[in-house]
Amino acid sequence: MSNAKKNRNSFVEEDLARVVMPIDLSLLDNSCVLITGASGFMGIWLTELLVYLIKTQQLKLKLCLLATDFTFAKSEAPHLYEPNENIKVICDDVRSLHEIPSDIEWVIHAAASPDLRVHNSQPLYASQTITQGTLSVLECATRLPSLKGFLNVSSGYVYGYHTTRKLIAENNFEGFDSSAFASIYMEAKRSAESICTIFRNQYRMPILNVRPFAFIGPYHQVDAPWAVNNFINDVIRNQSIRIQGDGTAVRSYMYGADMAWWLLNILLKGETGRSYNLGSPTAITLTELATKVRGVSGSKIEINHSPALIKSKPSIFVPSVESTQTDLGLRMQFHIDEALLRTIQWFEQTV
Amino acid sequence: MQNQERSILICDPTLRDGNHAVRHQLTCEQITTYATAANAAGVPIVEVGHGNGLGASSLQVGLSKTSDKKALEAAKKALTTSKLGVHVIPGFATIKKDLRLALDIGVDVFRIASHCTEADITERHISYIREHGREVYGVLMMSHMVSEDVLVEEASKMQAYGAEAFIIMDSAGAYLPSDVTARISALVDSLGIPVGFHGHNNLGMAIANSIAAVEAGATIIDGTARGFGAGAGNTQLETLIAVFDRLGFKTGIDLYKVLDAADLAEINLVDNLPTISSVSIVSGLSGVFSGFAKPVSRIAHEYKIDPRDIFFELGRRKVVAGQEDMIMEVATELNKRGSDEQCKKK
Repeated sequence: MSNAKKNRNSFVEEDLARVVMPIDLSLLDNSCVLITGASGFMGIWLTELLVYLIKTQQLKLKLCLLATDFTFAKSEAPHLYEPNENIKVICDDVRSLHEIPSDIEWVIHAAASPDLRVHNSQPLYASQTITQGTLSVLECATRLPSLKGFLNVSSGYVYGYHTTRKLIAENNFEGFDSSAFASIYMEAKRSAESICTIFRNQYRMPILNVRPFAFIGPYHQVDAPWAVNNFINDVIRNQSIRIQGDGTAVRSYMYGADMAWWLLNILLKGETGRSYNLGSPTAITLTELATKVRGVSGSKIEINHSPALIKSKPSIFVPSVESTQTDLGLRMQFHIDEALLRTIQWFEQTV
Repeated sequence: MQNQERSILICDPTLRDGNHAVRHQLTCEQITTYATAANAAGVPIVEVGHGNGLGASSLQVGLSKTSDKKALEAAKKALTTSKLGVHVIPGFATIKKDLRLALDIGVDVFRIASHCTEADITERHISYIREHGREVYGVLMMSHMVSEDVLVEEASKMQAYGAEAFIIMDSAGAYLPSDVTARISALVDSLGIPVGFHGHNNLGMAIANSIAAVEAGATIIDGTARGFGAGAGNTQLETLIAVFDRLGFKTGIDLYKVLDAADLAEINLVDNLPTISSVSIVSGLSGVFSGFAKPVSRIAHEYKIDPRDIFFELGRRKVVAGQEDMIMEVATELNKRGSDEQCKKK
């Protein structure tokens, strides 16, 4: 492994050391965890966390990592995929999954692309991966003799479009046009939650949902079409930041290390049948975000509205995580400023 | 006045769409002369290149007199405050050969275009430009061929790929103001990015359509000096600026200087000013790309058939830009049909 890659490995380990708190991990000991969608942002962070726990907590744990393509993951985190008797990499498509190793006790089902480009260019593939994929993984899971927990990674988009400046709690659903092309991803995610409910009811499986919002950190792709990635890319390239619309859209960002730790806690301590929000409750407008990105990077680049200032429709995508925090005893370790700084430092090594 | 609060971003494709009108024969000197004048007038974006955009110089759609590299370098040198833009149709323009070159030369705005139902083909090009931090817009050509619902779906794809603005082109000059109002309103309601309009004057509606567009919420409008462009020409830039001035829309363009730039264009670029010829009217009515006017006239003359018949047949077949080879096929068939009918009469 090159020095640059080793440095990146220790970069992530430093972050994990910050978020890992003393909890009872005995449920995980001598077990096997399946992660679907293991090559994406969430999958790589989860793998990093579990490998870190194996290393630092003397945990005996096997990992089954399932995804269609590990090219990006192997190039970003090669240390995770070196030959290791505790890690099994399975290249397969969740849509046509028929069998999984029978010693699996925990499932984190995260297979789906949150990338809008995929939803728009390959809507059938995107939708099938979520609905048919969830169905396939659940059917396989029904045959597991010792399944202890199944965490379905849903999406904050199941709540629909929110326009008032109020944090979105687990029961705040807004309507949307289910036949609209733009609704494909959120409808698929809602459908996947329904499929999980059916399996939990009919087979009494220990299934729970997590609804992720927005994240930043290592293992994001800097060219992904999200505002924060664009702003960071602009800063790294030392060119003016361009905000689309009037910058009033409200978002929040949780750092990858916090996300991974919260996910593991929800899997181990969450209540069957419940849904938990996952994300940062710290709301920030896109204009404030652009200013922060510039500030933490120490750059003096301009911030413009591109290509012309238009009034944006009200849009808020920020979770209330009160019940997740209170019920599971969780706390975010990375404030937005630090999360941005760490992300910029990471990307500076790669761009 | 309410309009006085609204700014309209003007994009000037005189040196790109205008290239259609001279069979892509603009020279470096002509590009420098006009770009300098447009820059002095404060035109925000000046689009340069082959009529069909970056990398399009070919036997099929016409060879450029000036290579993309030389044209863009000449324009970049002249544009000290205006942004340099390019029109990009994936298929003609490749990422490695053409986009890379344009980035290196310093092109500021990339307008990635596709036929109105094929936004999918723009994903890689739009993503590539976003990744490299330059401005990128999505453009749907021949937008009259589909309903506003389809336009919204296709435009949403471009927005998802990373387009920072979206333009519909009335490539055939087929719209009436009510058509523009319906489409622009639907797009403005549905998208979260600025919406623009690029008009052609086949039915004499380019200025009226542009006004309808801004009144429906468009904030980007294209116009060319003296309407220099394909078919009956584009929306005439200097008239547009005068009309917007009268209506109270801000463009940031100096009226006297843009009038000077148009006078200069007439002397330096244009052999024959675009007019609404019979063929252009038929092009608009049949909904066929304005850029077909010259090859249709030439082939009709060659085959001794009425160019209007060719246009209506091309329209019936829903031919789009890039299918110029169909002109010959249609002409051959019409010619044969004519001969057969004459034989029957005898």
